[in-house]
Amino acid sequence: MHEGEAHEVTRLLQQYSAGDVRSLDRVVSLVYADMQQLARQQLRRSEVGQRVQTTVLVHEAYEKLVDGKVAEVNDRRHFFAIAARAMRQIVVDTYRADNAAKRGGGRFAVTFTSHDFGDLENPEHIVLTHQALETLAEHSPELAELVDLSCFAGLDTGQIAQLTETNLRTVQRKLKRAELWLSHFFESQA
Amino acid sequence: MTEGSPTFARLDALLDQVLELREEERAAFLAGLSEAEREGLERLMQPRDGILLSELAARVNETLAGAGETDEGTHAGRWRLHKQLGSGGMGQVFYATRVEPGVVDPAEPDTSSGSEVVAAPSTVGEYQQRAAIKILWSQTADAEVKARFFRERRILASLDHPGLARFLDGGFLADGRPWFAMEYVDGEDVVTHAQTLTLRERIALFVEVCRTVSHAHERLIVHRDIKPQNVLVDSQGRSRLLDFGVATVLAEVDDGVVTRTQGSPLTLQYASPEQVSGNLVSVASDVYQLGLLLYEMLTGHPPRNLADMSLNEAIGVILNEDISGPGTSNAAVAADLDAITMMALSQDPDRRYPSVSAFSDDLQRFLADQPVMAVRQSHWYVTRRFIRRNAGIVSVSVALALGLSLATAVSLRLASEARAQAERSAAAQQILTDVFQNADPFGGSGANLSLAEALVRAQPAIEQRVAADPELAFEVQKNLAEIYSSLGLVEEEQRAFQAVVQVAPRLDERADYAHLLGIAGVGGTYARTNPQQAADYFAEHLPARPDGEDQVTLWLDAQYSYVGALNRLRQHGRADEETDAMTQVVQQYEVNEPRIRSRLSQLHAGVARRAGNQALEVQHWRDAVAYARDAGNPSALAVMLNNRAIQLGRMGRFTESEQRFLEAIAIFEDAEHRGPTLGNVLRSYAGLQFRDRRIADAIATSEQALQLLDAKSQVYARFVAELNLALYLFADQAPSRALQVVVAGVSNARASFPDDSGVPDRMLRVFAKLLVFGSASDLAAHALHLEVDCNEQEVADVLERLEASEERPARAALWDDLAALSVADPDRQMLDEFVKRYREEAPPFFDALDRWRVLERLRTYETGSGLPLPPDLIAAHGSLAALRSSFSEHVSAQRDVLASIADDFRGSVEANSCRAGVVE
Repeated sequence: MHEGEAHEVTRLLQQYSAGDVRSLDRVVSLVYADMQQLARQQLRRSEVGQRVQTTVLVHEAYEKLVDGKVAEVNDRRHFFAIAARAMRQIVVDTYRADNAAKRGGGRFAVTFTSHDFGDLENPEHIVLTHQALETLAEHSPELAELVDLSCFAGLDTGQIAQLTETNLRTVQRKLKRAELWLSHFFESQA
Repeated sequence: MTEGSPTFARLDALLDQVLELREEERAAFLAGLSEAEREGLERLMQPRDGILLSELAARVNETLAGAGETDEGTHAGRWRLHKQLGSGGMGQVFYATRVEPGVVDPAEPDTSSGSEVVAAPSTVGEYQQRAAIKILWSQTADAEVKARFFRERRILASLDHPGLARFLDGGFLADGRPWFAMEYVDGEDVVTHAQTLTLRERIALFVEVCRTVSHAHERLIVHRDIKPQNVLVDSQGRSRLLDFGVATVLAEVDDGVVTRTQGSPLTLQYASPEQVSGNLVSVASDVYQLGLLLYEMLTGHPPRNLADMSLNEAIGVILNEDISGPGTSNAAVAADLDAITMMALSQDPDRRYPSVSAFSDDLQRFLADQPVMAVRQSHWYVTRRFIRRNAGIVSVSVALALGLSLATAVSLRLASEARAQAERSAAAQQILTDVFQNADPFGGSGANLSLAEALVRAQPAIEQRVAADPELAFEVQKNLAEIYSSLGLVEEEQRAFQAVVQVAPRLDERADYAHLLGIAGVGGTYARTNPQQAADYFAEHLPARPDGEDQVTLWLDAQYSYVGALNRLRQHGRADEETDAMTQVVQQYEVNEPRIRSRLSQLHAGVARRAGNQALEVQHWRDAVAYARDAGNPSALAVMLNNRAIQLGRMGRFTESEQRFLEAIAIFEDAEHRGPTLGNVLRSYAGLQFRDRRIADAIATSEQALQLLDAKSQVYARFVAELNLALYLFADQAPSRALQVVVAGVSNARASFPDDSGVPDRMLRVFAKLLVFGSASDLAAHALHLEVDCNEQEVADVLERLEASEERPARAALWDDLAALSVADPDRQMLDEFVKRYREEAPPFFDALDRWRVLERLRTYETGSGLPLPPDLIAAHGSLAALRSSFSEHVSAQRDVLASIADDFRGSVEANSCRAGVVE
């Protein structure tokens, strides 16, 4: 990412904080491409079977994109929320792309030997979870964001508490709520 | 949720409260709610297989890392699944063992009698108690994936070859997923295994793999995913080809010949260019992948690592970058083997072997020490190109035999020049056709002949046929010379040009032109092999000026070779005179051809350099490069870039020099221009790297250069490259390897150079110095000294640094080199002074050897200038006697080698003293 783009991310984040909701989409698209690239890089660096740490990815993306220029706590929170959303999208797209490759679809599909985006125990699980999360977000964007931060940005409850300026216990309770709701939506769409 | 049920917000708020409560408080809380609220909450909180966030987080990482779960422990028909061996685009592969009859899992009935199923072979041997079982990843898989899965099963079942993992059994799991069992191969991948084998064993093993692939090809099955992981070697050392998962059956495609990649997954590291570009994929793709496999078996690593690249970068590399030969990374790989691998790895499928069996046949020829099809830059391809250029003269049948289409051959013939010319060509063509048909070089027992051999064998028959008709003889010999030239057969080329010279006087028209053509040709071959002979030949035969306008270009080319030979011999005075003659001719005939202007600028640059006029020299080099660019001839441009790079290197401008070297190398690395000239450029480039203190690079580059420098046609360049390599190795603290190179170089020099060329002397002298001294500084001076285009200033610069050296031998070397340079100087005082200083510093051995050489040089100089020979040659002889006795004491370990040198010197000295005696 160029320096100009880092500025752009910072600017968009500020606009978003100031209430410009449309700027969010643009940040997500900027973040998405970069995080996907980071994910691929990390995959290629990693040994066979080693897990990709979403936490590391999101932090790398943060370092790279925001370049230490976002000091405001609010912007940091927004950034992580966006990065987590982007991460979720990457996971889902990865699954879909992988699935598409298995179908032999697409003009040209590539798998990377031994360290590729491979099979899942139950691949549909991810997609259904994604849909459940989208439903949850319709009802409570806050809970959905917490799930993203926890599962897709890989932040622990302590980090989330710090980022969202809430106490640890509240975070834990909210996550429990989110978990119950997700299971509920997941079940009702299955 | 039914109508009247609480809203999300309400339920969520209640949930928040419930979670704050202890377990025993919850019942009371729930009791205080409406029924709908209570039901809603209970439903939310009921125990179930929902989503646990902790699991979700883990699964997210798994999605990215591709860690899948397994079916370990379950059954597939009569097989029990054990550990997962791998997973791919279609499904997973498990190691499985056969379950004893009677203990088949009742929950999973044996479905091998089902319609889709092929029954297991009736003879179940001990070895079939183990299997590799492939399971489709999901019963709900897309129809195309399913189709591919069953196609693989069908393909495997239809093949029966010891080099393949055999199909054993197939069926469906309880959940409906299809599976099939193959013979389990317990082994290591072929590349790992190859590392334990000798070169010949590796090739033999690879040929075995080729046979297996050929077996599949004969059944119209293209594997498309040949890579080390898919070729295993079992404990008996037999290879097994696995995984036909992306294989395709050519017969299923309309035209029956080729298919497209159809978006199937492929392994980028082992993909062929046409697979990546989505172009037609045929057996040529398997040839390419086998080429990659061979490369890796020979060297232990893939030709290039794509893992750290982005997808786009990797694709760019596969499509645009040629792979360099395995020989460049493993010196044990012979040039022929290199050529074979490179032919299989051609970017253009048409340039690869037409079939896997052609590929393996060539390897077997290599093992049997027979000439291979793919020699060096692929003579076949060169020949095809030659035929395309000269379709008028080479027969249609030959063209066809070489794989050109009839249409191409005929249209090229129709396009050929004037009619009279065409008639004569037709006659010449008829002769070659007859000869080739009679010699039958491409069919029957002659199938193993290379084109070069076929031609050489046919030569007497050709000559007999044309003997009576000089015009025809001229036409045929001229073309033969060109063919031999393109094949790198110098002796044959020279003989053909000699024949042109002989037939020239009998021609009705253009006899003078033909004569000059022959002279230029013969001289040209000498210029590539022996500068002394070239200079002598041109001096005797080349007219002082062209006789008529039609001869100008030809004459200028020959004169250029002449000047080049003189410069190599360091007879710069004569060279400069001949350059003047060349300049006059260019001016008189107003020659503006950029190629010639470029060469003339190059020569003038040399003159300016020797005159010490650096500004003028730089100007001439710039012109030389600029004209070469205008000439539109990449080879000529690369040569000039190379020369300019050498000059910049001399001026210490390493970065600029390197840029030009790299540009020149890039031009020559293109397949069209690949060849010995690249070897020369690399040799010079190595010199730059050495001076830039990148010794390891210099060694690697020199080794590359040597592979390209043909031992027959590039003798001199090879000699210099060997010496330089030895020096670099010495500087790299690898004296034993240096010694090996020199020993090989000495024997090559002895074999290749006439005794009077002085070249073996030079080699031996350096060798002796290597043994006695070995300081990098001394060697650096000699590396410079040996450069063909070495100049005084450059040596003086290095020597100036050496003068400050504490090493006595290094200082001696300084005076030695200055003395050597002064030999060309008419001022004897300088020489005497240098020789005197040198004698003061040099140890006895050094002194005797080099004093002899200096005097020998002096003799050469005085012979050339007609002055009397020096009387002290006799004294030199005496010194050499002392030298001889010191040999044996000096380095006992190398006594044998040294003794042989002493013999050589003895011979030379005796010859010299005889000559000296006559004068006295």
